[in-house]
Order: sequence, then C-alpha cells, then structure tokens
Amino acid sequence: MNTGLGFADFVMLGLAALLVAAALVWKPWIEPYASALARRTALSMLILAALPVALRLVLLAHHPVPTAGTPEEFSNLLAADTLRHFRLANPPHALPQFFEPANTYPIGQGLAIAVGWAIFGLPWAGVLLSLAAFCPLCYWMLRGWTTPGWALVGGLLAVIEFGPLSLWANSYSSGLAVAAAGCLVFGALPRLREGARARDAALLGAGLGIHLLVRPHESIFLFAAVALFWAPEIRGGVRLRSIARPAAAAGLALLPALLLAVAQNGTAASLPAGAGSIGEYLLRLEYRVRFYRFFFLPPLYLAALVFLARLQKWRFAWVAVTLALFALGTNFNPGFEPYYIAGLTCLFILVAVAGLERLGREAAMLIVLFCCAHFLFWYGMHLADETAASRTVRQYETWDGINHQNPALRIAVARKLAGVPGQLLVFVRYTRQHIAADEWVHNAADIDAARVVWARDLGPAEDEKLLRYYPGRVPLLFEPDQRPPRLSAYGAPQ
Amino acid sequence: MYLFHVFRSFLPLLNPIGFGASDFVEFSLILLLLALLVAQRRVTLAFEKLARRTAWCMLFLFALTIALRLALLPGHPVPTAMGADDFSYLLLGDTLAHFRLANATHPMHRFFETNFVLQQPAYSSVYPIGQGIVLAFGQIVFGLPWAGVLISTAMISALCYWMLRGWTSPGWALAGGLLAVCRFGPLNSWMNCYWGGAVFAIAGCLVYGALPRLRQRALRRDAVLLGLGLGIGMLSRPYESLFLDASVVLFFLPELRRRKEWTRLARMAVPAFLALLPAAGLQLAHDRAVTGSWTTIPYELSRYQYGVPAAFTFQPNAVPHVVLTPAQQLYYEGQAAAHGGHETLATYFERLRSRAGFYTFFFSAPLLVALPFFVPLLRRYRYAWLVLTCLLFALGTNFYPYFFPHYIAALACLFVLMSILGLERLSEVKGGQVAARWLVMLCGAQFLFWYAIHAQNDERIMRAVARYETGDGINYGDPQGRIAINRLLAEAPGRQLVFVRYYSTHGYQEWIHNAAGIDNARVVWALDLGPEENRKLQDYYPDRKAWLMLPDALPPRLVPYPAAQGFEEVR
Repeated sequence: MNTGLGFADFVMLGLAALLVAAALVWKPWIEPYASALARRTALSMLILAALPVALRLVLLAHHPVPTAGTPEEFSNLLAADTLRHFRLANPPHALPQFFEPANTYPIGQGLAIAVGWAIFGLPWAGVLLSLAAFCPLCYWMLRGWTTPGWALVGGLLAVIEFGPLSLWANSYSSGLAVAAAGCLVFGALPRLREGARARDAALLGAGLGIHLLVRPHESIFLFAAVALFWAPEIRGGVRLRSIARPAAAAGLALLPALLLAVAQNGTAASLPAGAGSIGEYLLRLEYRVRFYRFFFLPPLYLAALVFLARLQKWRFAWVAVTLALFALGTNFNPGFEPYYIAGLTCLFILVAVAGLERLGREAAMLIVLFCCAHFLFWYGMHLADETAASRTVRQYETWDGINHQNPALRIAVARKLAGVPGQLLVFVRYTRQHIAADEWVHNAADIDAARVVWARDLGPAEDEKLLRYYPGRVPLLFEPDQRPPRLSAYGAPQ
Repeated sequence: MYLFHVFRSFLPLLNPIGFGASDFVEFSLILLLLALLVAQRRVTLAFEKLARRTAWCMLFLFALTIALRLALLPGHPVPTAMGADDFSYLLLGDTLAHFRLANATHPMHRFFETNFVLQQPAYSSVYPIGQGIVLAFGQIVFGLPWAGVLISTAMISALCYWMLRGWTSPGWALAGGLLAVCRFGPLNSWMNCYWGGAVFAIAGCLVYGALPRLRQRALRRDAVLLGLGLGIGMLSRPYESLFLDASVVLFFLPELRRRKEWTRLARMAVPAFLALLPAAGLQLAHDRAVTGSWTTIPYELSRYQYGVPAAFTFQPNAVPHVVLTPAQQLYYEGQAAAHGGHETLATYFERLRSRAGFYTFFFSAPLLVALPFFVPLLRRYRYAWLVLTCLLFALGTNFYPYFFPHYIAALACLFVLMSILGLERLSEVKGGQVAARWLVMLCGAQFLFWYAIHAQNDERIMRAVARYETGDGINYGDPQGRIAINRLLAEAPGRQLVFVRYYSTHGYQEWIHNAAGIDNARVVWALDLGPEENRKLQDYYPDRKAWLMLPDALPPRLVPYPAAQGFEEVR
C-alpha cells in the first residue's frame, strides 16, 4: 500500500514512537527498576556482560564469526595460538622465508584471544570475552565517579557504542582488552582516593599491567595520568604509611604483567620515529580529530561540549588533562588507530555521562534516547540484512565495523580448502599491485602440524625447497589479486 | 585549516571529522531538539501570554510564514509555472486582474489551443474562480501573482490557529498554528505552485472554526464567517464543497434532532446564507461569462469540448467534440485511462485504498504517533463528527478518478485539530506531557532541519538529501529548463512570438500558455502548425520576433524561427 511516507518519514516516525513510548513508560515501568538495578553492582555487571554478547550472537546468521584479514590480526592470532600451546614464542621454522614474520606485537591482545580460544575453541570468543569484560567494567568504573543510575547509563552507552556493531567486537585487533584495563585503572583511582583499600589498589595494578601488556608505549601516558591524579595529595603532603599498603598491593598486581612483558621480549618494538617538524606534528594532531569521534555517537557531542562546564573541578579537569596527554603523546607515532588509546574509552564515556548529568534530566534523556534509537536502527538494519531497506541505508552507516558479509572471499576460499582432502600447502602469489593490508599468508603457531600451510610463492626454484620439505602435502596456488581470485593446483597450466 | 571543512562532504572519508550524512542528520536533529527544549523553557510564559491574544497570534503566524518563505528566495526564487494546471490558473488570475470574468475568443485561437483552457465561446481557464481571485490580488497589488499564493498560504496558519481556538485551549491552538506553519508553510507545494490548495484550506478553517463557536454562543459574526467559508469553498472546489456543506449539516445533527433548537439554527442560517450569496452570485456570473450559461460551469463545457477533465467514475467516459491537438489528445487519453470506463465496487474501493498515502500529506511523520491518542475521544459526537467529515470527503472525492491533496484542502485544519487533540490527550496521561512536548519539538526539528538544508542552498547537499525529503514541495533549480528559456526571451529586445514544436515523444509538460490579453502580451506562445499556417500568425503579428521552441529536445532548445535544418525530430 502506498503510505505516502518516504524513508526519512519512517525514520522520524520510528524516532517519535520511541520517544513517546519512553516518556510514557519511563516513570511507571523503567525508572524504579532501573534505579534498583543500578544499585545492585553485581547484577548490573552481569547484565552488561551478557547483553552485548547476546546481541552479537543474535546477528550471527548474517554476520558470522569474523575472519581475520590484516597482518595485525594474523599476528594477534599467532600470538594467541602460541600462548595456547603454553609458549611465549615458537622456534624459528627451517624455511622462514616462506612465512610471515614472527609476532612483533605485544602479548596482551593475544592473551585475551588465547583465553577465549582455550575455553571455547574459537579465537573470536576471546574478543567476545573482552567485550563481556569491558561493558560491565565501564559501569563499575563509573560507579566510582557518579551515581549508580548514571553509571548504568554509561554501561548502556558502552554496549551501544562498543558492543555488537563495533569494529572492536568484530576484529582480532580489538581495543576491548585494553579498554577493560582502562576501566580498572580509572575506576580504582577515585575509590582509592575515598578509602585506600588494598582491593582497589590491586585492581589498579592489574589494570596497569594489562594495559602494559597490550599497549606498552601508551602505558607511559597512563602511568603519568595516574601520577597526575594524585597531584593534590602530593602537594598536600601525603603520609607514606597510609599509602604503603595500597602501593604494595598495586605493585604486586602489576608484577606478573611486568614479568610477562619482559619474558616475551617482543615488546622491544621501538617507539616509531618521525615526529617531524612542529608544523607536521600539529597537522597530524588536527587530522586525527576524526578518530576521536569513534568514541562518541553524534548525539553525545553535545554532552561532551557541556562537560567543559565541569572542568572547574579538579577531578574532571584531570580527565581532560589525561585525554590531552594521550592525544599529544600518541601524536608522536605517525600511525594511529582508535585502539591505540582504547584505555581511555571509559574516560570518554565518563565525559559523556558527566555532560549528560550537567545537561538536566529531560535533555539528557533525549540524548540517551537518540543514542538508543541510533543503535536500534542500525542493529535492526543488520538483523534485516537482506532487505532492500537495509541495502539502501548501508551506505550511510559510518564507523560501525560489523563484518558486512564479511570477507566473502576468505570464507569461500576456506570452504574450498576444507573440501580438499589431506594436508595442504598453499602458495600465495601476489601481483605488484597487491595491497599490503590484504594479507593471506598466515599460519598456526606450529606450522608443520597445521592442516593448511600458507606460504609465499617465491618462484619455482625456491618453492621446490618447500615442496620437498612437505612431501606429503597437496600443493596449491592461490592468486588473490587475479580477477576473480584463483585457487588452483600448484604447477597446473595457467 | 582542515577543520573548517566540516561541511565539505557528506562522505565520511572526505571530511575532517569523519561525519557521514546520517551523522549530520542525527546531530542536527538532537541539536535542534535541545535548542527547542531550551527555548521552550525560556519562552513558555511568553508563549502562553501570546496564545491568548488572538489577533497578535494570527498576525505572528501569518508574518512568520511569509518571512520564512521570503528568506528562502535566494535559493528558491518565485516559482516558475510548470504545467497545464499552473498556466490555466495564471490565465484565470490574469483575466480577473483585468477585471473581466472571461476573455473574447482570439481570431487565431487554433494556435493557442492548450490543456485546461477554453477558446470558445470565450477564452478562459476551465478552473473555478477561487484560486484566480488570489492570483489576481497578487498581480494587482504586488504585480506578482505568486504574492497571492504567498499570502493565501500564510493565511492557513493564522486561520488554523483561529479555528483551533474554537476547539481547544489557546496554548494548543498556537501549537497547532505553528505545526501548520511547519507543514503547510514555506516548504509546502501549495506555497510553491499556482494550483492552489490554500484557498480551499482557508474555507475549511472558516467553516470549521465557526461551527463550534456557533454551537457555543450563536453569534452573527460567526454565522457570517461560516457563510463566507462555504462561499469560498464553492468558488475554489465546487464539487468538494458539497461535502463541506454536508459536514456542516452533520455537525448540527444533534440540534436538528431537537425541534426546539430549530429557531436558533434558523437565526444562524440567515446571516450565513446572506454571506454566501455574493460567492454564489459570482459563481453564476463567471459561468455565464465563460460558458454562456448561468448553470454550466467551465469544467463541464471543457469536458464536452475536449473530454477533459475526466468525468466522475459513475458517469461514462467523456468524449471530445472538437479536434484535439496531439498534446490535448495525450491528456485526454491519459485521463480517460485513469477514469477506466467502468466502475464497480471493487474498483471504487481499490481506488480508495490507493489514496491512503495522500492523506499523510497533512501530517508531519511524528504527528502520526499522536493520532492513536485521538481515538478514545471518538465516544463524543463532536469528535466522531471529525472522522465522519473526513470519511465523507474521502468517499465523496473517490468518485473522481484523480486525487490530489488540494482536493480536500478544507480538511487541513481538521487534520491539525486531530493531531492537536491527540497530543492534548497524550499530555493528560502520566508521562504524556513530556511525550507530547517531544512530539511537537520533533515536528519543529524536522521542519527546521529541512528548512536549514534549503536555506543553505548548497547544490551538493541538496543532491545528497533531496530524495529523502518527502511531503515538501519547494521549487529548486530548473528541472524543465523553463527558467533558462524564459530568461532568454526576457533578454531578447521587443515583442516575441514563440512557436512550440512538440516531438512524438512529448509527455505532459505543457508549454503553450498565454496572458488574458494575448495580443498585448510581450511573449505569445503558439502551437507550431507548419510553415504555411505559421505564416498567417506571423502576418498577424508582423512586429514580433519569431522563435521556435523545442521543449522535448534535451536540453529544451529555443532557436530563431524559421529554424535552420537540424531541428527536426530524429526518429
């Protein structure tokens, strides 16, 4: 039936219905239960842990388990596989020239993946576990800064922003583990100020440790921020005896991470050079503004703006200083991705929540409802993935990172390989135009024991060495840059 | 600086904050909503004070609509007439502006044959006189027919508020007036074409505003306004005004059933009838001047001569009685096809169903959420009457094969009333006050969003978002190339004669249009009847520069006549 309504009208209609429904059911139905729930820390954390995972699992029909595709993801998976075999590194292969370089990334992300892999037999489970840790920890962190109600709102915002549709929940180079670490650190700090409990100190230490394991370079700024947090106490003259116990607890909690980092010896990756001139530095800083919007849905911009009014208080000024510290510090690195500063995620949510708190009840409610509408809309579109409406609006979905019909090619190739009996050796032949980020050579920690071994095609003479090394394997040739990409028997006429 | 290029593109990778179109929309909406929330808190007192001052409110709403539209003029100039209907109404306005009801038949009238214009027994538009009066007013007072459209459309909002004052509290009435500005104001198609809609809407406001007042206090003034409304209704949409009349009877049904009320009703009927008389007189005089008969309306004669406008569905398809030009034949065939020829209950209801979408023209999308809250009010007759009236119009107009929202424009204020009553009812339930406020603000934000888009007048942004703007109908650009052609003709010195040559692929875009006084017009548009015939018209207009217009060429071409080779249609 012709309704006379266009797509924009339906969006407005949906938004209006949501606003009206929320206004009508808020007082009698939602508020009392939400307030009661917000005060029950454990239950709230349990719900916030289960919710994003359940929401993501519901989408599995259209958005299957993500397939790794970038060198970084493969590297993290390799690290996880290595750890899963209770090793910190693998012995070098006899023919290393055919394979990807050894893992050069810090161990943290691999550790998170390894845990999920070990428990559920699936690397992505580690990413989901990180998600299930981050969202409730965000609520826990906010409980140290604001009222239980606002903390719960913050937890929901975490689900909306970094939950099922987020890039982090759908990739193996996720920022969720380090974001969870940030929650531990920034949640422990205000609690420690209130009462110097050993538990909170241990959590602080654990948070710092995890952060160190995942993002060692940025940890420098995290340590600096922690030190800065205590500036008023240090200026006021702190009694050493009163902080000795918590400091010891924090140190003890941090120790395993330190030892692991040193043992891995992979954290030796030096700080990237090339800060260049001041002009270049400032230009890069300006360019990176776009990356920071990863942490805010558009309606939250207003809340972030209102947050500025709260800077008179030192605790909020410190939040701003910490954000600036990371922004300026990470700007020395010529590369940048949002997960570099994932530790700050909960602080960004705190900024939004503090702004909302300041805005007043009705305005804040409107903003939160807009965020909910945003999430529900896109989630609905992903749920109804095959519909014309979903296909039409997909082009307008910015910054979500769910694997839309994710790497169809990789899934198809994996399926084909699964159909070939026996052990396989796949030579990958790139053309000169190959995009480096689209990596195909990736292997398990124990290359020789893997069913499929991926190797670089180094030409017939060199390849012969590997063929002799793996005499029992079926050799195949994969050419990802051909149109269409080609998988054929190695040595077959082209 | 990189950051200052925020609006550079709607593509996220091309602007500095990675914003995509959906982000812009989302951010703008929430920004507008919060701005309205803050404004609402600050102006509530002033709003309530203003709402009680009827004249000031009306003036405010009237001026607001006009100011908002005028502010858009740089990007959305005075609309250029686009088709046969527009041209026919402009002819009507021009005729009236010359203080005539019809024009004498032109001796060379076969060149000026066009759709919806009678050539004999008088040269005139086939349309009812109401919209023509408005255009004539604009032309006489401001030298611009569109001024009449602007004023009449602005009057909808003002009179809608006045109408609502008879049904609800001053505050809600003012809210309704503002919603009318948003819906029927600067961005609406009624404001930006010459077909109208506003005049019949004004009639509706007068009638439906007078009714509750008459029930309350039976003042003579309200009876006069009722009669005036009915008269304007008759002059603008004669057929649909029958349902307007019927709805008045239906309104007083409870009183009619009580014999003791009859005297009171009669006291109201007399001034109403007297107020209606001038309109009736004008209608008769217009019929006489155009068709030569007091009781034959121009529509009817046109249907006899040209077979258009189409007959009612319960009548047989009209048959033309003159030789039609190809363009007229196209219209006739189109209308005959729409008529269908044979009406059954199934076709009637299928047509009714297919028209549902047209009714959303009267509602901002968020207001549709308020409508369900209106339903519980239907237990009371005065509110059930609203629905009965809409039903009456829907069923009645369904006997005509075509339908456009302006056919039922008289209901515009009733639709606003239903929305307002729904909002009012919603605000009475727990938590509903906030909900109702949000809905109103959402309507405001929606309007402001599109208004701001149009005000920016940025072609890239317009291109990116235009397909998502439904319901609005403001003119933008030069989609048919008419502005460019008109400019060319305006720049040519002296007086012009334009022969219009249609290709066999010609659609419904009409180009033949002339002033009431064809011979005095600076530009005369004539059908290309071939070199020999055209020679006669050139001889008739020896001092005019002749042109050949090829509207179906891509892009439309205007070349000196006779044209060099190469301007024939390539088949």
